Amino acid sequence: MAGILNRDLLQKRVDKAREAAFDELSFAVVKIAKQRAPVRRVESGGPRARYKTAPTSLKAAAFDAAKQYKYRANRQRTALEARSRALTSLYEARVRVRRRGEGNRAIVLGQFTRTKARSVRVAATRGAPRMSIASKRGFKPASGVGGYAGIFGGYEGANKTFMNSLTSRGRYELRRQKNSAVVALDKLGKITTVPANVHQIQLGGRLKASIDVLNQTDTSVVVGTTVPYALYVEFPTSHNAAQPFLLPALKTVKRSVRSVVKKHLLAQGLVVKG
Amino acid sequence: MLTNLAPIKQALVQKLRSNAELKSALTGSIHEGFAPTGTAYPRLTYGIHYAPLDYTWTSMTVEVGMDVFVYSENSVEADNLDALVFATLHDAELEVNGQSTLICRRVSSLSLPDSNEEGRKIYQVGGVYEIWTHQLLPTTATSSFSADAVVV
Repeated sequence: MAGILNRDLLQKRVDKAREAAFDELSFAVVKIAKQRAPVRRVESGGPRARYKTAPTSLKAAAFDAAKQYKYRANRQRTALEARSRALTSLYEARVRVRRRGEGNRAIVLGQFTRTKARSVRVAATRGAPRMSIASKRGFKPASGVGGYAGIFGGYEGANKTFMNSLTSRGRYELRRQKNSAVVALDKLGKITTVPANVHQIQLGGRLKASIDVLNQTDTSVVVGTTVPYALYVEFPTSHNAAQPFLLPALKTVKRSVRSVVKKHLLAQGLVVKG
Repeated sequence: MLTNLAPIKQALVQKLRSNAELKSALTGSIHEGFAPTGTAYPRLTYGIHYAPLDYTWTSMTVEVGMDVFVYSENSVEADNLDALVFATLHDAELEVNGQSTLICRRVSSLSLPDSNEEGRKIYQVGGVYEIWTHQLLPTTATSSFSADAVVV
Protein backbone atom coordinates (compact mmCIF):
# COMPACT_ATOMS: atom_id res chain seq x y z
CA MET A 1 0.00 0.00 0.00
CA ALA A 2 1.51 3.28 -1.03
CA GLY A 3 0.94 6.53 0.84
CA ILE A 4 1.20 9.97 -0.68
CA LEU A 5 2.92 12.52 1.53
CA ASN A 6 1.00 15.72 1.42
CA ARG A 7 3.50 18.26 2.71
CA ASP A 8 0.96 21.06 3.19
CA LEU A 9 -1.39 18.86 5.14
CA LEU A 10 1.48 17.64 7.30
CA GLN A 11 2.59 21.18 8.00
CA LYS A 12 -0.94 22.19 8.92
CA ARG A 13 -1.21 19.35 11.40
CA VAL A 14 2.15 20.16 12.95
CA ASP A 15 1.12 23.82 13.26
CA LYS A 16 -2.15 22.84 14.86
CA ALA A 17 -0.41 20.56 17.34
CA ARG A 18 2.14 23.24 18.18
CA GLU A 19 -0.55 25.84 18.75
CA ALA A 20 -2.51 23.51 20.99
CA ALA A 21 0.62 22.61 22.96
CA PHE A 22 1.52 26.29 23.38
CA ASP A 23 -1.98 27.04 24.62
CA GLU A 24 -1.96 24.22 27.13
CA LEU A 25 1.51 24.99 28.45
CA SER A 26 1.00 28.73 28.70
CA PHE A 27 -2.35 28.22 30.44
CA ALA A 28 -0.64 25.94 32.94
CA VAL A 29 2.10 28.52 33.64
CA VAL A 30 -0.49 31.29 34.07
CA LYS A 31 -2.58 29.13 36.37
CA ILE A 32 0.31 28.14 38.64
CA ALA A 33 1.70 31.69 38.69
CA LYS A 34 -1.74 33.00 39.67
CA GLN A 35 -1.96 30.46 42.46
CA ARG A 36 1.42 31.52 43.79
CA ALA A 37 1.11 35.27 43.37
CA PRO A 38 0.59 37.00 46.70
CA VAL A 39 -2.44 39.19 47.36
CA ARG A 40 -2.26 42.17 49.68
CA ARG A 41 -4.58 41.97 52.65
CA VAL A 42 -7.41 44.41 52.07
CA GLU A 43 -9.86 43.38 54.72
CA SER A 44 -9.28 43.70 58.42
CA GLY A 45 -10.35 41.23 61.02
CA GLY A 46 -9.43 37.62 61.26
CA PRO A 47 -9.81 34.71 63.63
CA ARG A 48 -10.21 35.89 67.20
CA ALA A 49 -7.23 35.22 69.36
CA ARG A 50 -7.71 32.51 71.94
CA TYR A 51 -6.01 32.61 75.29
CA LYS A 52 -5.46 30.18 78.08
CA THR A 53 -4.20 30.72 81.59
CA ALA A 54 -0.47 30.51 81.83
CA PRO A 55 1.14 27.66 83.76
CA THR A 56 1.99 28.55 87.37
CA SER A 57 5.70 28.92 86.74
CA LEU A 58 5.19 31.17 83.73
CA LYS A 59 2.56 33.18 85.58
CA ALA A 60 4.92 33.79 88.50
CA ALA A 61 7.65 34.85 86.09
CA ALA A 62 5.27 37.26 84.37
CA PHE A 63 4.23 38.84 87.70
CA ASP A 64 7.85 39.18 88.73
CA ALA A 65 8.72 40.79 85.44
CA ALA A 66 5.82 43.22 85.79
CA LYS A 67 6.83 44.12 89.38
CA GLN A 68 10.44 44.63 88.44
CA TYR A 69 9.53 46.68 85.46
CA LYS A 70 9.46 50.02 87.29
CA TYR A 71 12.85 49.49 88.87
CA ARG A 72 14.58 48.82 85.60
CA ALA A 73 17.17 51.43 84.68
CA ASN A 74 16.02 53.57 87.65
CA ARG A 75 13.14 54.93 85.65
CA GLN A 76 10.06 56.50 87.13
CA ARG A 77 6.89 54.52 87.02
CA THR A 78 4.96 55.57 83.98
CA ALA A 79 1.42 55.04 82.84
CA LEU A 80 2.67 52.34 80.49
CA GLU A 81 4.29 50.43 83.31
CA ALA A 82 1.19 50.72 85.41
CA ARG A 83 -0.86 49.43 82.52
CA SER A 84 1.50 46.54 82.02
CA ARG A 85 1.17 45.51 85.67
CA ALA A 86 -2.58 45.96 85.67
CA LEU A 87 -3.00 43.90 82.54
CA THR A 88 -0.77 41.16 83.84
CA SER A 89 -2.79 40.78 87.01
CA LEU A 90 -6.16 41.37 85.36
CA TYR A 91 -5.72 38.68 82.78
CA GLU A 92 -3.68 36.45 85.04
CA ALA A 93 -0.78 36.36 82.62
CA ARG A 94 -2.70 34.78 79.83
CA VAL A 95 -0.92 32.95 77.09
CA ARG A 96 -2.07 33.30 73.55
CA VAL A 97 -2.92 29.97 72.04
CA ARG A 98 -1.37 29.88 68.64
CA ARG A 99 -2.97 27.38 66.40
CA ARG A 100 -1.19 25.78 63.52
CA GLY A 101 -1.46 27.90 60.39
CA GLU A 102 -3.28 30.61 62.33
CA GLY A 103 -1.54 33.35 60.43
CA ASN A 104 -2.94 32.12 57.17
CA ARG A 105 -6.43 31.34 58.32
CA ALA A 106 -9.29 33.30 57.01
CA ILE A 107 -12.83 34.03 57.98
CA VAL A 108 -15.09 31.93 55.87
CA LEU A 109 -17.96 33.78 54.29
CA GLY A 110 -20.17 31.32 52.53
CA GLN A 111 -17.84 29.36 50.35
CA PHE A 112 -15.28 32.12 50.04
CA THR A 113 -12.43 32.90 52.35
CA ARG A 114 -12.07 36.55 53.10
CA THR A 115 -9.35 37.88 55.30
CA LYS A 116 -6.18 36.48 53.91
CA ALA A 117 -7.56 34.72 50.90
CA ARG A 118 -5.13 34.49 48.02
CA SER A 119 -7.91 34.80 45.51
CA VAL A 120 -8.95 37.91 43.68
CA ARG A 121 -11.77 39.77 45.36
CA VAL A 122 -14.28 42.09 43.89
CA ALA A 123 -15.54 44.38 46.57
CA ALA A 124 -18.31 46.23 44.95
CA THR A 125 -20.00 47.19 41.76
CA ARG A 126 -20.60 50.80 40.88
CA GLY A 127 -22.95 52.25 38.37
CA ALA A 128 -25.11 49.17 38.28
CA PRO A 129 -28.79 49.62 37.44
CA ARG A 130 -29.64 48.70 41.04
CA MET A 131 -27.35 51.37 42.41
CA SER A 132 -30.04 53.73 43.59
CA ILE A 133 -31.68 51.02 45.65
CA ALA A 134 -28.43 49.60 46.86
CA SER A 135 -27.01 52.93 47.92
CA LYS A 136 -29.78 53.27 50.47
CA ARG A 137 -28.84 50.00 51.99
CA GLY A 138 -25.14 50.55 51.90
CA PHE A 139 -22.81 47.62 51.49
CA LYS A 140 -24.60 44.37 51.06
CA PRO A 141 -22.81 41.07 50.68
CA ALA A 142 -24.24 39.30 47.71
CA SER A 143 -23.40 36.26 45.68
CA GLY A 144 -21.82 37.61 42.59
CA VAL A 145 -18.57 37.64 40.71
CA GLY A 146 -15.36 37.22 42.59
CA GLY A 147 -14.74 36.30 46.23
CA TYR A 148 -17.38 38.55 47.68
CA ALA A 149 -19.38 41.08 45.83
CA GLY A 150 -21.66 43.78 47.00
CA ILE A 151 -23.43 46.67 45.43
CA PHE A 152 -23.27 50.13 46.88
CA GLY A 153 -23.50 53.63 45.63
CA GLY A 154 -19.86 54.32 44.94
CA TYR A 155 -17.10 55.09 47.34
CA GLU A 156 -18.88 58.14 48.75
CA GLY A 157 -21.94 56.05 49.43
CA ALA A 158 -20.12 53.21 51.08
CA ASN A 159 -21.31 52.78 54.60
CA LYS A 160 -18.99 53.01 57.54
CA THR A 161 -19.28 49.36 58.43
CA PHE A 162 -17.92 48.40 55.06
CA MET A 163 -15.16 51.00 55.16
CA ASN A 164 -14.15 49.92 58.65
CA SER A 165 -13.96 46.33 57.51
CA LEU A 166 -11.11 47.25 55.16
CA THR A 167 -7.48 47.64 55.99
CA SER A 168 -5.80 50.93 55.19
CA ARG A 169 -4.56 49.28 51.99
CA GLY A 170 -8.12 48.29 51.09
CA ARG A 171 -9.40 51.82 51.66
CA TYR A 172 -6.52 53.20 49.61
CA GLU A 173 -7.33 50.90 46.71
CA LEU A 174 -10.99 51.81 46.90
CA ARG A 175 -10.16 55.52 46.76
CA ARG A 176 -7.70 55.04 43.92
CA GLN A 177 -10.07 53.07 41.75
CA LYS A 178 -13.27 54.94 42.34
CA ASN A 179 -13.30 56.49 38.91
CA SER A 180 -11.73 53.70 36.93
CA ALA A 181 -13.22 50.75 35.18
CA VAL A 182 -11.46 47.72 36.50
CA VAL A 183 -11.82 44.35 34.94
CA ALA A 184 -13.24 41.94 37.44
CA LEU A 185 -12.03 38.42 37.69
CA ASP A 186 -13.83 35.56 39.24
CA LYS A 187 -12.31 33.19 41.77
CA LEU A 188 -10.59 31.20 39.07
CA GLY A 189 -9.12 34.28 37.49
CA LYS A 190 -11.39 34.32 34.46
CA ILE A 191 -12.72 37.58 33.13
CA THR A 192 -16.36 37.82 33.93
CA THR A 193 -18.93 39.35 31.66
CA VAL A 194 -19.49 42.87 32.84
CA PRO A 195 -22.26 45.04 31.44
CA ALA A 196 -20.93 48.09 29.61
CA ASN A 197 -22.33 50.57 32.10
CA VAL A 198 -20.97 48.81 35.14
CA HIS A 199 -17.61 49.70 36.56
CA GLN A 200 -16.22 47.19 38.97
CA ILE A 201 -13.83 47.96 41.73
CA GLN A 202 -11.33 45.30 42.53
CA LEU A 203 -9.64 45.24 45.88
CA GLY A 204 -6.41 43.34 46.23
CA GLY A 205 -4.96 40.93 43.73
CA ARG A 206 -3.76 43.45 41.16
CA LEU A 207 -0.62 41.42 40.52
CA LYS A 208 -2.50 38.15 40.38
CA ALA A 209 -5.09 39.54 38.00
CA SER A 210 -2.43 40.88 35.66
CA ILE A 211 -0.66 37.56 35.04
CA ASP A 212 -1.40 36.46 31.51
CA VAL A 213 0.05 35.56 28.13
CA LEU A 214 1.70 38.79 26.98
CA ASN A 215 2.97 37.76 23.60
CA GLN A 216 2.75 34.71 21.40
CA THR A 217 4.65 33.96 18.21
CA ASP A 218 5.11 30.80 16.18
CA THR A 219 8.03 29.74 18.32
CA SER A 220 7.52 31.33 21.70
CA VAL A 221 4.96 32.30 24.32
CA VAL A 222 5.62 35.03 26.84
CA VAL A 223 3.80 34.75 30.13
CA GLY A 224 4.19 37.65 32.50
CA THR A 225 2.68 40.65 34.17
CA THR A 226 2.57 44.32 33.34
CA VAL A 227 2.44 45.43 36.97
CA PRO A 228 5.57 47.53 37.55
CA TYR A 229 6.30 46.22 41.04
CA ALA A 230 6.16 42.56 39.98
CA LEU A 231 9.96 42.40 39.81
CA TYR A 232 10.19 43.37 43.48
CA VAL A 233 7.81 40.56 44.41
CA GLU A 234 9.49 37.90 42.31
CA PHE A 235 12.95 38.83 43.56
CA PRO A 236 14.12 39.96 47.00
CA THR A 237 14.70 43.61 47.83
CA SER A 238 16.67 45.25 50.59
CA HIS A 239 13.44 45.37 52.64
CA ASN A 240 11.59 42.17 51.78
CA ALA A 241 12.23 38.55 51.02
CA ALA A 242 11.20 37.29 47.57
CA GLN A 243 7.76 35.83 46.95
CA PRO A 244 8.51 34.12 43.63
CA PHE A 245 5.56 33.23 41.45
CA LEU A 246 6.62 33.26 37.78
CA LEU A 247 9.85 31.27 37.65
CA PRO A 248 8.57 28.47 39.90
CA ALA A 249 5.52 28.18 37.64
CA LEU A 250 7.72 27.93 34.58
CA LYS A 251 9.95 25.34 36.22
CA THR A 252 6.98 23.25 37.27
CA VAL A 253 5.53 23.18 33.76
CA LYS A 254 8.88 22.71 32.02
CA ARG A 255 9.05 19.02 32.84
CA SER A 256 5.76 18.31 31.09
CA VAL A 257 6.65 20.09 27.81
CA ARG A 258 7.75 16.90 26.09
CA SER A 259 4.66 14.91 27.01
CA VAL A 260 2.27 17.75 26.10
CA VAL A 261 3.85 18.23 22.66
CA LYS A 262 3.79 14.47 22.10
CA LYS A 263 0.13 14.29 23.12
CA HIS A 264 -0.92 16.98 20.65
CA LEU A 265 1.13 15.51 17.80
CA LEU A 266 -0.53 12.16 18.41
CA ALA A 267 -3.93 13.86 18.47
CA GLN A 268 -3.20 15.12 14.97
CA GLY A 269 -2.51 11.60 13.83
CA LEU A 270 1.25 12.04 13.70
CA VAL A 271 3.49 9.24 14.89
CA VAL A 272 5.96 10.30 17.55
CA LYS A 273 9.05 8.28 18.22
CA GLY A 274 10.94 8.62 21.46
CA MET B 1 17.33 8.44 53.27
CA LEU B 2 16.18 11.41 51.23
CA THR B 3 17.81 14.68 52.10
CA ASN B 4 15.97 17.97 51.79
CA LEU B 5 17.07 21.38 50.60
CA ALA B 6 18.88 22.37 53.79
CA PRO B 7 22.20 20.75 52.78
CA ILE B 8 22.11 22.67 49.49
CA LYS B 9 21.69 26.01 51.27
CA GLN B 10 24.39 24.98 53.70
CA ALA B 11 26.78 24.08 50.89
CA LEU B 12 26.13 27.37 49.12
CA VAL B 13 26.86 29.44 52.23
CA GLN B 14 29.90 27.30 52.97
CA LYS B 15 31.21 28.00 49.48
CA LEU B 16 30.57 31.73 49.80
CA ARG B 17 32.31 31.83 53.17
CA SER B 18 35.27 29.93 51.77
CA ASN B 19 36.16 33.01 49.74
CA ALA B 20 38.11 35.00 52.32
CA GLU B 21 38.09 38.18 50.26
CA LEU B 22 34.31 38.07 49.87
CA LYS B 23 33.77 37.17 53.49
CA SER B 24 35.84 40.07 54.78
CA ALA B 25 34.29 42.53 52.33
CA LEU B 26 30.72 41.70 53.45
CA THR B 27 30.48 43.88 56.54
CA GLY B 28 26.79 43.14 56.88
CA SER B 29 27.39 39.39 56.58
CA ILE B 30 25.27 36.77 54.79
CA HIS B 31 21.53 36.41 55.43
CA GLU B 32 18.79 34.10 54.25
CA GLY B 33 15.79 35.82 52.63
CA PHE B 34 16.36 39.35 53.88
CA ALA B 35 18.57 41.12 56.35
CA PRO B 36 17.17 42.59 59.57
CA THR B 37 16.67 46.36 59.71
CA GLY B 38 19.85 48.18 60.60
CA THR B 39 22.21 45.59 59.13
CA ALA B 40 25.30 47.23 57.73
CA TYR B 41 26.13 47.45 54.04
CA PRO B 42 27.52 45.72 52.04
CA ARG B 43 25.60 42.56 52.74
CA LEU B 44 24.48 39.45 50.90
CA THR B 45 21.18 37.64 50.87
CA TYR B 46 20.31 34.27 49.44
CA GLY B 47 17.06 32.36 49.15
CA ILE B 48 15.44 29.49 47.32
CA HIS B 49 13.54 30.70 44.29
CA TYR B 50 12.32 27.38 42.94
CA ALA B 51 13.12 23.75 43.60
CA PRO B 52 11.24 21.21 41.50
CA LEU B 53 12.12 17.58 42.11
CA ASP B 54 12.59 15.11 39.27
CA TYR B 55 12.25 11.44 40.04
CA THR B 56 13.35 8.37 38.17
CA TRP B 57 12.84 4.85 39.47
CA THR B 58 16.15 4.84 41.27
CA SER B 59 17.19 8.43 41.76
CA MET B 60 16.09 11.99 42.34
CA THR B 61 17.40 15.18 40.81
CA VAL B 62 16.72 18.56 42.38
CA GLU B 63 16.97 21.71 40.30
CA VAL B 64 17.30 24.48 42.82
CA GLY B 65 17.22 28.11 41.75
CA MET B 66 18.92 30.24 44.39
CA ASP B 67 18.70 34.03 44.48
CA VAL B 68 22.04 35.47 45.51
CA PHE B 69 22.14 39.25 45.79
CA VAL B 70 24.64 41.71 47.19
CA TYR B 71 23.51 45.09 48.52
CA SER B 72 25.78 48.07 48.76
CA GLU B 73 25.57 51.84 49.00
CA ASN B 74 28.18 52.04 46.26
CA SER B 75 27.45 50.74 42.77
CA VAL B 76 31.09 49.89 42.03
CA GLU B 77 31.42 47.98 45.28
CA ALA B 78 28.17 46.11 44.52
CA ASP B 79 29.44 45.12 41.08
CA ASN B 80 32.81 44.03 42.46
CA LEU B 81 31.20 41.92 45.15
CA ASP B 82 28.84 40.40 42.62
CA ALA B 83 31.85 39.50 40.47
CA LEU B 84 33.41 37.81 43.51
CA VAL B 85 30.21 35.86 44.14
CA PHE B 86 30.12 34.85 40.49
CA ALA B 87 33.75 33.71 40.58
CA THR B 88 33.03 31.70 43.73
CA LEU B 89 29.80 30.02 42.68
CA HIS B 90 29.76 29.73 38.90
CA ASP B 91 30.73 26.19 37.88
CA ALA B 92 31.72 25.47 41.47
CA GLU B 93 31.55 22.04 43.01
CA LEU B 94 29.38 22.34 46.08
CA GLU B 95 29.79 19.82 48.83
CA VAL B 96 26.18 18.89 49.44
CA ASN B 97 25.72 16.38 52.21
CA GLY B 98 24.17 13.16 50.89
CA GLN B 99 23.90 14.42 47.31
CA SER B 100 26.27 14.85 44.40
CA THR B 101 26.32 18.23 42.69
CA LEU B 102 25.86 18.13 38.94
CA ILE B 103 26.05 21.84 38.15
CA CYS B 104 26.09 25.20 39.84
CA ARG B 105 25.65 27.96 37.31
CA ARG B 106 24.38 31.47 37.15
CA VAL B 107 21.33 31.49 34.91
CA SER B 108 20.19 35.09 35.19
CA SER B 109 21.51 38.47 36.29
CA LEU B 110 19.65 41.37 37.80
CA SER B 111 20.38 44.88 38.97
CA LEU B 112 17.71 46.51 41.12
CA PRO B 113 18.64 49.92 42.53
CA ASP B 114 16.45 50.78 45.49
CA SER B 115 16.34 53.13 48.44
CA ASN B 116 16.56 52.15 52.09
CA GLU B 117 14.58 53.38 55.13
CA GLU B 118 16.75 56.48 55.39
CA GLY B 119 16.20 57.33 51.76
CA ARG B 120 19.73 56.43 50.69
CA LYS B 121 20.23 54.70 47.40
CA ILE B 122 21.05 51.02 47.63
CA TYR B 123 22.50 49.04 44.75
CA GLN B 124 21.26 45.48 44.57
CA VAL B 125 23.15 43.27 42.14
CA GLY B 126 23.03 39.53 41.71
CA GLY B 127 21.12 36.80 40.03
CA VAL B 128 19.78 33.29 40.11
CA TYR B 129 22.17 30.39 40.42
CA GLU B 130 20.89 27.03 39.35
CA ILE B 131 22.17 24.09 41.33
CA TRP B 132 21.42 20.56 40.23
CA THR B 133 21.96 17.81 42.73
CA HIS B 134 21.46 14.12 42.37
CA GLN B 135 20.86 11.40 44.90
CA LEU B 136 19.98 7.76 44.76
CA LEU B 137 16.66 6.69 46.17
CA PRO B 138 16.54 3.93 48.73
CA THR B 139 15.63 0.66 47.03
CA THR B 140 13.85 -2.35 48.43
CA ALA B 141 16.12 -5.38 48.47
CA THR B 142 14.47 -8.73 47.78
CA SER B 143 15.86 -12.16 48.36
CA SER B 144 14.56 -15.69 48.35
CA PHE B 145 15.72 -18.69 50.27
CA SER B 146 14.60 -22.16 51.10
CA ALA B 147 15.26 -24.29 54.12
CA ASP B 148 15.20 -27.99 54.64
CA ALA B 149 14.22 -29.39 57.96
CA VAL B 150 15.44 -32.72 59.11
CA VAL B 151 13.42 -34.40 61.76
CA VAL B 152 15.48 -36.82 63.71
